[in-house]
Amino acid sequence: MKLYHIILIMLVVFFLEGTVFYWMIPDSMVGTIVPRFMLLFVVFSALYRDRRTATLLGFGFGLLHDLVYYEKLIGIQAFTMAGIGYLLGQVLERKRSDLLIAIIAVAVASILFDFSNFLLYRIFRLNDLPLAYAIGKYFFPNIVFQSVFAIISYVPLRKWFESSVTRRYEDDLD
Amino acid sequence: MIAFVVFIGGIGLSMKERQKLSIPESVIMDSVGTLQQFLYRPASYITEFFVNMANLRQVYEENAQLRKTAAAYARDKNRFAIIDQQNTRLQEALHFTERQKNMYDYRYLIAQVVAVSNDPLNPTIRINLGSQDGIKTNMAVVTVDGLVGLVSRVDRYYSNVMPFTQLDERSTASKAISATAQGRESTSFGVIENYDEVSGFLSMNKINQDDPLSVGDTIISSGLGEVFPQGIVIGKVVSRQVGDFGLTHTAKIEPAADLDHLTEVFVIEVR
Repeated sequence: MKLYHIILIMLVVFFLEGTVFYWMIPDSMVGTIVPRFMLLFVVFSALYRDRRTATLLGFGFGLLHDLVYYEKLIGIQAFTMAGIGYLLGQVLERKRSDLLIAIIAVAVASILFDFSNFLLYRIFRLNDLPLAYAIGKYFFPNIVFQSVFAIISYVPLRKWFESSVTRRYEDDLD
Repeated sequence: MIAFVVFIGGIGLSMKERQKLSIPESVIMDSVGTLQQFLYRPASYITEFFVNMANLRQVYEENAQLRKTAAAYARDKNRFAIIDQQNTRLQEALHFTERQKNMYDYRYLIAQVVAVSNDPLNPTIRINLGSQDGIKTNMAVVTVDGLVGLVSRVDRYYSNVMPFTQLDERSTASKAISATAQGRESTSFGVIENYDEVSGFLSMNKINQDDPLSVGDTIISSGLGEVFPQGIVIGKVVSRQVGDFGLTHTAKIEPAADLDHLTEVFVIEVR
């Protein structure tokens, strides 16, 4: 599978995220469970490809999200997703991580993402949620939700990203 | 480190009040909106179908209630027609200007929701009306139940709606809505400025101490600012207490509209 195939899949998932998946969340869970499949892709690309791809994918899809759902700020998600992709790539890239490491990475990415977003909106004075409330309301449920999705999508995502590394590209990296 | 500084600076730049979007932004927003539209609506139809199947029993009760409301409406319509005629006649007699006559003449534009971001810090509802259809920023968006929010970004064919949950008196990018109580339009006044995420209530501030506003009143927008239309249902008063500085009162208001899983909304155009 080539990288641009994966990007196409990501685009489709991006569209589904705000539409079909939003409707699959029950009424009481809206605002508690937030589907963030782009983050999942970014984490897997950091684990099974390299940090450069992860940073670029994170930046690109973060920016797309920011533009499409533009309310007050552009670039929050672009910044946090690129940062998470880079950090995780720095630590774990091409380490042949197994399922457990992948789940932990996704959970860490989820909490990093929520926390840095929370902090950035706080810096710009657009957010006055108490931190303790936010943790209970959506930080924690999201870790669980994101991890469950990591388990479900582990096999295909790993296969896609590992097979996307071409031979010549691999030589470049070594 | 440099990347970090540039990033935060860039984010800050995007915060200022922007009336028009740049070309790449609007191209992306339009093309994404078109695709989202094809996904959101089937998804909503399917989900609603199953929900409706489950609620079949409630439909009978609802139907009976609606019939009663329809009868009341038919009665009121005759009265309304007479009062409307009388009002027009009086306005003519008192030499109202054209602008004053059209002040409360609103146009309800129906819009379909195309996508929703339920990010807790940046919730956005995207609708399929844009500047092409005469949408401008800060127009009120309502459902049949009541206020949903304000139009925050307008694009050519789509626009983003800021839900009322984002109203925040301490925020730099928030708005305030002047409001009054239904049936006491000339005596009650307050400003809706804040939404408390934890309790789920809106707060109406700057209420006069001897204002007759009481628990259970329906709060509607007063239209005194002439930007925001008059008579939009916002919610019901739950409690009233002395405000932060002791000079004015603050009321807690339970919002009337449910923001979860919207399909159709109305944008109110003030002429």
